[in-house]
This record gives sequence, C-alpha cells and structure tokens, in this order.
Amino acid sequence: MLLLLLARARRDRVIVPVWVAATALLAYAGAAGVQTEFPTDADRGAVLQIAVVTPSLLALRGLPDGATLGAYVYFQVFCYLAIMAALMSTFLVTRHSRADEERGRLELVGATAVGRAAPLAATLAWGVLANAALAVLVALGLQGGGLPAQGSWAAGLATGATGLAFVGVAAVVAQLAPTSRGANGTSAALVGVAFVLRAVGDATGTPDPDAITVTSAWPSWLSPIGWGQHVFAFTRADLAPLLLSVALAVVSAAAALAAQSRRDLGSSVLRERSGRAEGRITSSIGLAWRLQWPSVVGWAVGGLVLGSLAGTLSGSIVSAGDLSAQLQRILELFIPGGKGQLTDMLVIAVVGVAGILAAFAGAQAVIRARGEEADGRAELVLAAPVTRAGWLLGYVLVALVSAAAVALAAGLGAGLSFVAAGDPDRFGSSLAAGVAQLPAAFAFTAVTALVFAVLPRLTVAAGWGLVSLGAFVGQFGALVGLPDAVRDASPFAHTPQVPGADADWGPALVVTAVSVVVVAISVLALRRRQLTA
Amino acid sequence: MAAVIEATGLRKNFGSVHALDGLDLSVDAGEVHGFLGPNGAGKSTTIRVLLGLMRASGGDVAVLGKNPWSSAVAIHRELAYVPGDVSLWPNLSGGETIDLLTGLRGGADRQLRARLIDDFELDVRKKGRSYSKGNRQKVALVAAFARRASVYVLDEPTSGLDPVMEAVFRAQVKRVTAEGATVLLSSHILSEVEELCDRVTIIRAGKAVERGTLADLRHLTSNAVRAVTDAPVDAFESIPGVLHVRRDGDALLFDVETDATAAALAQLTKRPVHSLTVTPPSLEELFLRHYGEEQ
Repeated sequence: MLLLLLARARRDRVIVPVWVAATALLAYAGAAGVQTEFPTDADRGAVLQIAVVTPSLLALRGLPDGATLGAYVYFQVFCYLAIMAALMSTFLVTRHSRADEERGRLELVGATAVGRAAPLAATLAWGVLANAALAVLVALGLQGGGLPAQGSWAAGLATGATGLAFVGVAAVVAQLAPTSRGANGTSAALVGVAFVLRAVGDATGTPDPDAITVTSAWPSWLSPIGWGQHVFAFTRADLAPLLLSVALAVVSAAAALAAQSRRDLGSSVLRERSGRAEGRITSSIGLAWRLQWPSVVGWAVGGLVLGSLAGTLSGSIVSAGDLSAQLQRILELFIPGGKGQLTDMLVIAVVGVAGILAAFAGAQAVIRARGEEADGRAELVLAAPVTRAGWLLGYVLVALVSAAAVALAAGLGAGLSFVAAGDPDRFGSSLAAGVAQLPAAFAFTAVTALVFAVLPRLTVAAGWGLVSLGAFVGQFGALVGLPDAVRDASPFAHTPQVPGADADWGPALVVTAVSVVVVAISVLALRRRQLTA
Repeated sequence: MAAVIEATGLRKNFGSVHALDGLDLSVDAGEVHGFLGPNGAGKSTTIRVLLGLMRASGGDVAVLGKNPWSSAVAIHRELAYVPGDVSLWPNLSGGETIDLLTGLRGGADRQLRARLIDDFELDVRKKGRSYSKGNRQKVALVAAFARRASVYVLDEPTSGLDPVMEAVFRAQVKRVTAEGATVLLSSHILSEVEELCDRVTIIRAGKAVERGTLADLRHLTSNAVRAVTDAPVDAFESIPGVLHVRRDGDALLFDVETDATAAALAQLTKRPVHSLTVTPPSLEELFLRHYGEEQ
C-alpha cells in the first residue's frame, strides 16, 4: 500500500507540483494584484457596491462579504482556486484508477499480493496528500501576497477541502464510467456543474448594500465550491461548511472502495455501446474531425452559454444607474485598453472569455495529432498514401473549424440573448464579436502546430500552457500590473474590441497573416521530421 | 529478378545508439522474405525506414525502385503494412478502422473484406479500446489484406494470434503471393517462416548476419550424426569438421560440418554400423546459433 502510494507520487512528480504551484501562484497574484489596484477599503467598497446588485459579477466571482482586503480577495479568487483544486483532484484520481484499469496496469498490480481495493485506497491517499500540499501552498501564497495569516490558512483549508470533495466524486465516477476519457469528461463536467450551481445561487442571492454582503440562495449550498465560499475565510472564518466537503469525500470514497472490491476487473456500470460494422471515414482529415468533433460540441455549448450571459446581464448594468462609472472601471481592468459604452464592454468581456475557449479548442485539435503519433496510430495512417503535410494540415483545418465553432457559438449566444432581452439591434455586433476572436485562436493553433512539428514531445505542455499563459496575461495582465510589452506578446491583446466604435481589425489581420506563415513553416518542418514515439 | 526492396549499407542512429549499422537487405519480386533477428536487433527500425516513417542516417534504400523518404506516398499506394504493436483508435469500431485504413489506400475489396472478417472471426462492431491484443492484430491484418497491394510489409503479424488464426494468416500470405505480390515477413515463429518463406535474412545488432534460402542456411551448419557402432571416439576426433564426439551406450554421437561429411562417413564405414541417423539442424538450433552468437 505504501509502495503503491509512492509509485503514484513518483508518476506525478511533475504534474502535481505544477498544479499546486500554479494554484498557489494564482492565490499570490490575486492578493498582490488587489492590493495595488484597490489599496483602500473605500476603493474596494465602491466596486463592491455595484457588485452586490450585479448578478453577472456575482455569478463570475463569488459572494462579497465586506470591503476589507482579505474579504475582497476571497470574493475575487476563491472560486478559481477551488476549480483548480477540483480539476487537479479529478485528473489525479482518474489517472490512477480508471486509466490504469483501462491500460491493463491495474491487472498487473492486482495479480500481486495486494488487496482488490488497495490500489484505489492508495490513489485516494495520494489525492488527500496532494490537496494537503495545495492547502498549505495556497495559504502561504495568500499570506505572501500580504493577507492576514489566520484568514489565509482558512482559505487554504477551504481550497483543499473542495479538492478533497472532488477526489471522492472522481473516484465514484471512475467506478461508473467504462473509459478514462469518459471518467475525466464526466468529473470535469461535475466541477463545471458545481461552479454553475453556486453561480446561480450567488447571482440570485439577497444583497445587503449597506453591509456590502450577499446572502446566497439555496443552489450555492448544493456545490462544494459554494461550501468553500461560505467559509468567508477573512471575515467569519467559519470552517463548519467544510464538514460538508469532508463528508462528501468520505462517503463517496467509501462507496468507490466498496464498488472496487466487489466488481470484476474492467467492468463498469455504464456500458460501452457497440460501434458500426462499416466505417464512413476514408480520409485523414475525416479521421481528424471524427476524433475532434465530440469535444467541439462541448466547447461550443460552453461558448453558447457564456455568450448568453451578455444579454441576461446587461439589464442589471442599466439598473445599476449612476454606479456605472465604477463598473466601467472594473470592466476596463479586464479588457486591455477597453473604453466605451458599458454594454459593449460587457459583450467584449464575455465573448472574450469564449475566445479563450476557442483557442483551447484549436490547440486541442493539434494536440490530438501528437497523441496519434505518440500512440503509434499515426504510423498506420502515414503507412497509407497520405503525405505528412496533408496529415498535419487536416488537423490544423479541424482546429480552425473547432475554434470558429466555439467563438461563433458565443457570438450567437450573446446575440440571441440580446434578442430575448428586447434589444435585437445588438445581434449583428454580437456575432461580429465572435468573429473577432478567431485571429487569436488561429495564432495559438499555429504555434501549437509549430511546436508539434519541431519539438513533438513538448506539444501537449506547450499547447495547453501557451493558451493558459496567454489567457492569464490577457485577463489578469492589467490587474497584476504587467508591462504593456508583455501583454502585447499575447495574441489575445490584438483581438478587435467588437462591438465598439474604435474596433481595430488591423492588428488582428497581422496576427492572422503571421499564423498562416507559422502553419506553413510547421508543415515544412514536419516533412523533414521522422515519427517520434 | 528485380528487387522490390533493396537496402545496402543502411544505417540509422538514435543519438549515439546505432540501431542499424550497415544493414543489407534484398527482397525479390514475388517472394516471401523472412526477416529474423532477436528483439532489439533493428527489425522494426528497418521496416520504418522502408516505409519512410524514419529517415536513414546513411546507406542506400529503395522500395519499388523509389526512395521511401521522398516518395513515401507513391510507394504506399502499392503497399500494405501491419505493425508489430497495433494501436487502434479507442472510439472507432474495428469495422470503421478497417474501412479507414483501406479507404486511405483507395477502398477495400468488399467481397474480400467480408470473407476476411469471416475467416478471422472478427467482431467488427467492438470499439478499438475493448479489443484484446490478438483481436487488434486481426483488425490490422484484415485492413492490410482487404485491398490488394503489390508489397506487403508485415512486422510480427501473428503475435497474439491463436494457431487457427495463424493458419488463416498463412493462407492469406499464400493467396497474395499466388497473385504475384511480394511479402516481407518479420517473425519469431519459425514454423511460420519455414512454411512460408522462400528466403530469409537474419539480422543482429543492426547488421545482416545471414541471408539465403533455408537450404542454404542449413548447408552452412552442421548435421547431427548418431551411429550404433563400436568405433572408438578418438578415430573421429581427429577429423577436421567433426565436433562434440561422445558415446552414449551403444551409440556414437557427433556433429559434422557439411564439408566434412564425406570424411566422417568414410571413417564410419571402416567398422560395422548397425544403425545410422543423420539429422539436419532444426531451425531453432540454426537461429539460436545466430541469435546467441558473441559479437
């Protein structure tokens, strides 16, 4: 059992420290950033006055609880810390449970003198350790960012407890799902559900403008992320809600362990459907699309939902009335160089987040080509009369279609939500906002393709990493005070500010042209490179 | 006869490791050529170079008269390949995979496809991830044989197959050679090599150590002789080419190299011989000799 635990720690010696460090860094950057941007209670109070009456901000951020520095930071970043912890936990658990089982590694271990449930128990123990480390580092990060020690540790515990809850949830899902892919997808979706439940609960909560607090509605109490929020680490520091997270973790872990020790190796509650006897895919690009489209649907639905926030939230902005000057200031922070009419800026902000999703979808399609190569399936395709150039271009094309689908779905969602809100004039400009996201997404696709062609083993890390970095610089660059030169290096900085009077498509066209060149270089580089496992 | 696959002095380095170190390989049109060697000898690397999936570090290589790196697509139009370790798309069914791989080469012969699926007893509706190793191998074999090609490159194609399926495989190899195709067969299964192959190349540490027909290879080695006779041991030990002379009860046993057969028989006939058996080396012995040889 100890040996199994050590084996897990050794396998994860890079990935888990990266997750933990990234989360702690987010905590530190959040704390430090708020301190420079909103140094006084009065600054923060002014922003929060709008936030408490703006459901969209509550949905995207959390529950305000007064204007002190700690409370403001907790309001601003806790949900995202919790999501990081939850995702780290779900991927960790699936990696060491269903994925091991699917690849036959569990069979190898199960044939040795260990109990049937011991590998899962080791996985759960490893999940607990990882979340403990995460809790400590998040606390240190917040403290390092200048927040009080006691609150920082309460916040760390709340983050770790949320992660713990998802260790349990993912363990149950891994028992039910027949494949590791399905398990990862389902668990990650449940993290999304947890975020949305608390978003709904927070947005429909009861505001108290005098105290600058919001009492959430009941849906927040259905979500482990919501439980963590209710710790209010820097004001009430009430750890009782975390008992719910721990209880969920214990109950679900027990259920998973019971299932694991009773069921057959390789079995699952959900069954895999049988496939078609004859295939219709007869080209390399057809295959690339077949592998990618289920993800595209997921990303596009995400884009559509996100986009529809624009119209539903614009109403509350109008009703906020004279407070809108302050709101404008908040939005300016999130939109590099953005100035203009409030509703325009809301569309830019919301569809801009969908632009990040589009970039992820594009990078993912190229990363798939690397997966094909690493797993030896590219060899089967390239041993047929398929050129390397055509093979890669197929994946790049699918990447562009994926990115376009996500960005346009967001634009469409925004447009439709305005139509529903009785403002149909905004339909066209909302769609244009979706189109404006394409150059940046294309740029990330192209760069991922270049890394794949030149340094194939780095494709996955570079693809996800660069988009994440670009998104961070684009979204939080202003907040943490990065110099303009650094922010301009991100393709997201050149996304046209649509809708708006001063939208500039010039830089976006340059980004597009550069991307085309980068793709061309990638294709040439791949023609000279041999397959690398 | 024209060589379909011709490699001379082929070298492939991975950093400081010489995976192929001056390999020579020549496969004539219409033959089944056995490609043998211990694990790690460079068989799969050679095959990947022949397919243009890897670029040779040195030496000359031609498949169907073309350079496999620069003319990969032209060659692949005429070629079918079965990798040694088949990895399938986890979410595509076996049938979809077969149709994809044959479709890339221009489409399957539907009748042939149906017959192969039947012969190999393959459930084509299962998803790639749920196939066992043997069944993944069958998917790759059906995909390779369901469209006619002029060259078949098969890298340990029967690993994981049961004996009945192996017989189906052998029948397919015989069918395609009867139709005039050329086959390069990398294999560890010696009975398969013996039954199917016209010639073999044995490689070790990236070099061809032996090439020729199986009869040629046998010729190079020694036969085992067992004679029931009272002839003394030392009368044979002095003959050059006679080895391991020993006595087992009534029987005198020794190994004799081909060139020394006449001398050994002459010595034997000087005394009464009650029974005599001369056994050619088994393939196993032949290969163990090459595989196990010191460098």
